[in-house]
Amino acid sequence: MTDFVANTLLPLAAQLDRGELQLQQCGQCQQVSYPPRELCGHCLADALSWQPQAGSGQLLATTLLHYSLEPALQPQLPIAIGSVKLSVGPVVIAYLDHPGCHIGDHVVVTIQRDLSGNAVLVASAANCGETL
Amino acid sequence: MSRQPPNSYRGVVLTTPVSYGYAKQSDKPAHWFIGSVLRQLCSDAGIDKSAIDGAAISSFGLAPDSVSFLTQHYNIGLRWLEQLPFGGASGVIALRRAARAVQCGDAEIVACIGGDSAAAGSFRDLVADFSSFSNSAAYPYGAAGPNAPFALITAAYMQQYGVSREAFGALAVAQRYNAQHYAQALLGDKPLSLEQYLTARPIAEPLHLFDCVMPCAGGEGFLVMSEQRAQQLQLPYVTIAAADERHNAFADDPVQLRSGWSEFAEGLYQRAELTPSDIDLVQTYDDYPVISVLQLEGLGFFAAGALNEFVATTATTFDGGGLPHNTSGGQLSGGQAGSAAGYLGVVETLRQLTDSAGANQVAQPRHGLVSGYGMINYDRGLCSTACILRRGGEHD
Repeated sequence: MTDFVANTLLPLAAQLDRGELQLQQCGQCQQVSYPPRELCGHCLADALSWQPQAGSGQLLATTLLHYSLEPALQPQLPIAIGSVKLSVGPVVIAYLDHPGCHIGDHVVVTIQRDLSGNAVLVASAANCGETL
Repeated sequence: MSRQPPNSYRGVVLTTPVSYGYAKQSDKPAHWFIGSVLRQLCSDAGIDKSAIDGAAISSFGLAPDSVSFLTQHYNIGLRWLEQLPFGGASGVIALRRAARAVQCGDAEIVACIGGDSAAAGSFRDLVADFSSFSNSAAYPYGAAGPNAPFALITAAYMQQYGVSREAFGALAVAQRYNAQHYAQALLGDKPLSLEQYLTARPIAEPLHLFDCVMPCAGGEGFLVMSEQRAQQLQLPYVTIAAADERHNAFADDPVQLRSGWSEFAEGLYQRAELTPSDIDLVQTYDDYPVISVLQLEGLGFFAAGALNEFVATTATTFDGGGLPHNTSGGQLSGGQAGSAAGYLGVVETLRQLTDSAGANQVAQPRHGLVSGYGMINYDRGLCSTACILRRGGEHD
């Protein structure tokens, strides 16, 4: 992993110790934003702060990655990831904790550390079988 | 929101299609490819470089330079210059910008060029630092670069509409056939069967090897000038019947199963006074089959989700008598030369509509549609474009 990844996810990394999902939310219009940005993506107010959010959502799509250009990820292949529509609004790309998850499954997104120690989002679903 | 339609592009033409230097790898920088296209444009048009007074240029590989530095590199004096960072949407946007410059008298002859190189590791470097959203929210998941976003879009599309891999494969196989008739297509010497497509190794399921483009080096370009000037220079040309573009269309769709084409297609055909059935050939931006499909749907060639029926009833080879699609093989069979890939469809359509395509020539086409799509930021491509080009001298 290169440095900029760790840097851009520092706000997420800080949440790990508190064990809760936080995403940017606008203090003016209350819209939740992701990926991280500088101003509110809805009303453009300079009022974003990291706030606790419910991680529940629905799995929009999944893929199993068999190939990566990134040397650090190659030992982990194949990698199951998916896109999740969070009930609080944004779509996030997250690791799937079980590759048997299906489109439409209800999932819960949490923050965990990957093998390199970076903070990443992980989607878990009770009905996806046992976790890896 | 209802807005005024754009003005006509009357009086402006495109000439001089150039595709240059396609190679799987190259140690020459983008500057070499762009400059080589410029030299070829002048040579093919029979003009000195001093006659070119405008340029619209796209490249991912110029850093630390910008296009302003290229003017000194090639020792050209310009009075109009654009750098278009729109990836696969750049070609259509270049012709839109250049046509207005010529119409308004800001420039007389504009060179529109996309060019990029492909050194070992350069594609990895590009996707590893492509955009701030991708860096923070896709890259850490192995999802940097277009494979994973398009795997997710393809998976959602297949689930939504019950479309099979075979249907996507039909498009890829037809493009490979087209590439076998186009000398610069880098994969044109390798036949591809549907069986080979289906049994290829997985890359990012449901995408397999032949769903993914091969990054390469190359350049594409064309000239924009007045119709009168093209006639004086005795250059075959095409006119712009209509063109449009959108950025971040349907932003609230959770998965990108449509984009700007759905928003502007009706007006595009109205301004051209044509319908999809009048289109004799179409070039889509095909970094993956699913994105070609979204373009074909959005531009009215078949209903959303009707891909199975379309490929069962319509040949997409250049000589199949159906709807010739990506007639030089597209990127899937020709290679993706960085920003040049955004110009490929315009250049190939220009060849086709001036009867200069060669072995892959479509019989007597009158109207060609070029669609563009670009800039994968996190989970979707943000730019969508299309234009309808008309054989020069035809009624408009």
